[in-house]
Amino acid sequence: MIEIILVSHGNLATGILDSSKMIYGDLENVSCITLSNDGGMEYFNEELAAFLDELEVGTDVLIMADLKSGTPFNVSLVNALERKEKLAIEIVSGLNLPMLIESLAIRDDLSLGELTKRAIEAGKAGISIAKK
Amino acid sequence: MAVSFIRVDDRIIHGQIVTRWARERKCDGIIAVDDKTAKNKILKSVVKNAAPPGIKAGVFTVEQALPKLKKASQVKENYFLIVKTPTTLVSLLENGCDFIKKINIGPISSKEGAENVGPNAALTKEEIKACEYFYEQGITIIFKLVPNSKPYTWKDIRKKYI
Repeated sequence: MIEIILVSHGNLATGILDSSKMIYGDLENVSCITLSNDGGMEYFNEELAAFLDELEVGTDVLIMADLKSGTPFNVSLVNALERKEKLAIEIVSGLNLPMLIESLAIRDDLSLGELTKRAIEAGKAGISIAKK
Repeated sequence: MAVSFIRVDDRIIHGQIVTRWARERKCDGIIAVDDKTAKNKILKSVVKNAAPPGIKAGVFTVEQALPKLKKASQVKENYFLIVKTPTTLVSLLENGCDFIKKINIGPISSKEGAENVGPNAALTKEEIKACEYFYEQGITIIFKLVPNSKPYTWKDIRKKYI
């Protein structure tokens, strides 16, 4: 199963995971790693690195970050590049609930590349104006 | 204006810079200076790519940055100078970067041996020494994470740490 990791500034990732459980029930292979003012970048980096290093070699990982080029995104990218021989990691930004829920629903049947594409599509499609 | 904004930020170029400072102040280019980052290909490319669209960014060692900064300080365009730690600015100052008159300090995460001087501002003994050195040179040091957060200066707090 493709491993999904949510990363964010503060508790956005934990909040979205909590919300998705409300819709989707209990979840496996989805985790959150958040950047806090107290721990800062170093702590975030250590947590992410430790998490990635515990995964089996060859695992597919999709990281969803809150903000393009924000620190969680940048640190994820550094970690992904450092492990490109061991893990297949894709990183998308613009994490939202539709992106996560759709990805959870379809991840068993797709390759990492295809899931990444569909995650972005679902994230974009989830943004709309209510028809009145 | 030339080098119009000088900032210490341990994440160098990232979300807060991307979304806030470049919108608040005119920014034609970013000169990031950190020896370790400039020498690490992966870190360098990630930091460079974090610059907002349309703003060119370079990551340099102190040695590489000196001629770039000298040139940047004499042109019309507005450049941001960003360093990871205040001690880098000491090296730049000592090597003739006399345009450094005002320094903004953004997030510096806590690390071993560092003392919290404010929210998200943890300085090592060496960094405190650097701030004191700027103070003696008449350089203003403002701690401010984002444009609308409440600022305080080194002058306000220095007595507690020296």
